[in-house]
Amino acid sequence: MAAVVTIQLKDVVRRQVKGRYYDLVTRQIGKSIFRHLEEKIAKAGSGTVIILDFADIGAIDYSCADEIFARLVRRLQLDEYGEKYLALKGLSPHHKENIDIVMEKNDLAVLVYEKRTWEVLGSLDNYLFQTLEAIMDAGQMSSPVLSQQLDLALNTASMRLRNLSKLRLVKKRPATNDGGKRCFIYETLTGRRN
Amino acid sequence: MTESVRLTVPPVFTHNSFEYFLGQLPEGLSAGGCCVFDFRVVTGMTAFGVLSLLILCETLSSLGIKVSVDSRDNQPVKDMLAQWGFSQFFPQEEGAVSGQGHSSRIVLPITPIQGEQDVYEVISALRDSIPMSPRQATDLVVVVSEIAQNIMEHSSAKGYIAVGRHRRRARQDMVDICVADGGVGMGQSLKEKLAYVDRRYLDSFAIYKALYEGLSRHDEPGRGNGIVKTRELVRKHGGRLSLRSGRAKIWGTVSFWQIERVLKKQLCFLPGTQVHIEFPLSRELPQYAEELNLDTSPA
Repeated sequence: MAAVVTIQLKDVVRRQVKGRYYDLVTRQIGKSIFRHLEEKIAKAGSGTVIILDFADIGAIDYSCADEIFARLVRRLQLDEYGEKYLALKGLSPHHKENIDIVMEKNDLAVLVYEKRTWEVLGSLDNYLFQTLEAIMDAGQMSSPVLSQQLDLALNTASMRLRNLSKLRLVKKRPATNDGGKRCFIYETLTGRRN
Repeated sequence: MTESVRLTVPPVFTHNSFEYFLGQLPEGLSAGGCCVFDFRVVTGMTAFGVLSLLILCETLSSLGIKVSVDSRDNQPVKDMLAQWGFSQFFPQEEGAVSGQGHSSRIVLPITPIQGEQDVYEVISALRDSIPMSPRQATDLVVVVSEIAQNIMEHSSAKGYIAVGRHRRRARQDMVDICVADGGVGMGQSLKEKLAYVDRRYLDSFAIYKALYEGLSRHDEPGRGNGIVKTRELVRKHGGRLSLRSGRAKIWGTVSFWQIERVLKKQLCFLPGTQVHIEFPLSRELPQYAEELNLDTSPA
């Protein structure tokens, strides 16, 4: 099973700036945090899910969010770091609002995990959201199952799953079906139902 | 013969009276001239007043014009200038300032902004000195950081921040934030993107485009977002924002169809960009109330 690496953002902020508060502010601080995170992601093994924990983080401004999250997600989607995934957790409503605005502006999406729920920040087409919901409910899914569940043509279901995987919102792993043919299984980033 | 000009500073020196004050400056003032700012009738000044004055003093000095402040017989104004830290950045000769003490209206005296660590320290100082709810604190931090970092990103000059406090209506406390620099200004920063605009209206058009449409000189999609969202945040809290750059100024957080009413063009030239924000502190209980789980709901 692929590793899940949790990074405490406050530890990263502490390395970059001196102060009593853990605020993610200014584009310059964002750039140095981005470089630090990029290094960690590059070192992680293939298939690793990086979870950024926002515990104790104060304010986050738009410039800093743009510099960290929009750049990381864009580069992940462009396959610059190999098969790695990013998710966020422990966000306050303020964090969610500001990151959502930035991701929306950049036409990107990122997953947020809470204790028992999940959420997508940024822009995600309705049909992809519906597919993501189905995967989150089941924990994992293949094209024939999705096709049956949502009453879709097989190639449509397959295309939806592939698109979600390209956006790094679900993981894709090769498998063999009952007939012995090669197929792909798409599963949640944590490998569990949500 | 050395040309000498005496400018009277208005009794209450704010963003509005600053325009009157700047209008007194003669057009043909040249190097070797002398400019005296008469502070004898001043009774109060806001963060915007004191920072814009500092930018003006620095600009005139860089042009070779001698500037001095005359505050004779007005001890309160001497104290006020000293408390704002004006005399630290611009020492005067006439009526030397010797003020002591601290005014409750000054939250943060003039502080230079040269790097991201400066912005971080300013934000920490504001968090420590203004009692706010967590929601207000995070929004205020975003507003200050988005405006202050523009100095490093766009102005190519040293900038300053000063924060004051006043009471607008009964029991309505306001935080006065002013961020100013004497750099290139918005018109010059965006002139390549606005090459089609008449030079006379470049500053006003640049203000409109940046504040309402998020125009930035950078092409990346995430750029230019900060100032637009800052305006929306200030508006959401019921505050006001004024932005002056070059020869233009906007005052208010109105919708775009009302912009003609609040956008002033063809004003006296002042280099750089000066932003003034009035951010209301609501009557919510401060941070510790939420931490102690006090019941804050109305009875």
